[in-house]
Amino acid sequence: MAVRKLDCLTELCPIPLLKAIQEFKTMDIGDILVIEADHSCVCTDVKKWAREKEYEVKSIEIGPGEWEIYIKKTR
Amino acid sequence: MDFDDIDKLIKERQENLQESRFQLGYGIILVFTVLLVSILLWEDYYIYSISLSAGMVIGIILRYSRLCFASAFREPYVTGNTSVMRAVILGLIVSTIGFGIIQLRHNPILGDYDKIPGIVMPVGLNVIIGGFIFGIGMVIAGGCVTGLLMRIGEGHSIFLLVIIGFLLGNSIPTGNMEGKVIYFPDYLDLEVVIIIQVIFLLILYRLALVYEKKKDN
Repeated sequence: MAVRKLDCLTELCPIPLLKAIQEFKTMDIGDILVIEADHSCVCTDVKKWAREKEYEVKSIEIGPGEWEIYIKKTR
Repeated sequence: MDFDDIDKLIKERQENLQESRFQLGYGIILVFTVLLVSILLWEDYYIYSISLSAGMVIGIILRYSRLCFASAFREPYVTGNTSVMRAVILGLIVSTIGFGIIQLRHNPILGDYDKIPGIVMPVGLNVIIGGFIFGIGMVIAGGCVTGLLMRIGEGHSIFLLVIIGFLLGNSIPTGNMEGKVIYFPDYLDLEVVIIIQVIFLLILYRLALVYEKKKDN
C-alpha cells in the first residue's frame, strides 16, 4: 500500500479534482491519495466524485482553512 | 485490516495536529446579537430586520451546503454529474412559483417594470457579454457571489479584495442598461406563463438526468 500526496494548495475548483483524476490513473489498487487543499469547496467536489466512483473517502481539517482529503483506490 | 487504512492515517495525522480552536461560542454570541438587533430594529425598520435575520439563515445554509453555481454548470463537463445542476433547476422551479404568486397578487401595470417585485431587466447582447465576463472573473477570483460572501465569513482575507471588484463591477454597469424588456405576462396570462416555465424546467431536469445516465455508460 502506497500513500501519495497531492499538493493542491492555492488551487481552485476544479483543478484539484482534475489533478486527482489524473493521479488516480497511475495508481495501483489499494493505494491511498492524500489531497492537500485550502479551498473549502474542494472537499465537496472531490468527495462527490469519489463516492460516485465508490472509492473510500474521508477528509479532515488540519488547520484553519486547510484540509486533507484521503481517497483509497478500492477498485 | 484492509478497510481502515484511511482511518489509521488520519489518526496518525491528527496526533501531530494542534487542538483546533472551538468557535461555536462565537457563533452563538453572533446569532444572539443578530436576533437582538433584529428585534430592536423591528419597530422602525422592519425590512432591515427581516433582511438581517434571513441573511444570516441563508449564510448558514450556504456555508454548510456549499452550493456552488459555478460547479452546477461545470460538473456535467468534468465528471458528468448533474446533481448540483438539478438542484439549481429545482430552486428555479420553487422561485418561479413563489415569484409567480407574489406577482399575481401585485397585479402589474403594463410597462411599469420598476414596480414589479423581482428583477425585471432589459435583455439583449449585454446579458451574453456580461455573463461571459462574469464567468471568467468567477474562475479567476475563485468563487461566485455566494461563494465569495461565504468565504469572507469563513475568514479568507483574499476575498475582501475580490468583493471590492465585485461591488464596482456590479454597481457601475447596472445603472446603464439599455435594451428591450421582455416580460412574458405582457403577452400571456401570468398563470399560463408560470405553468409553461415550470414544464420547461421539468424538461430540463429530465434532460439532465438522461445526460448523467449517458455519461455514466
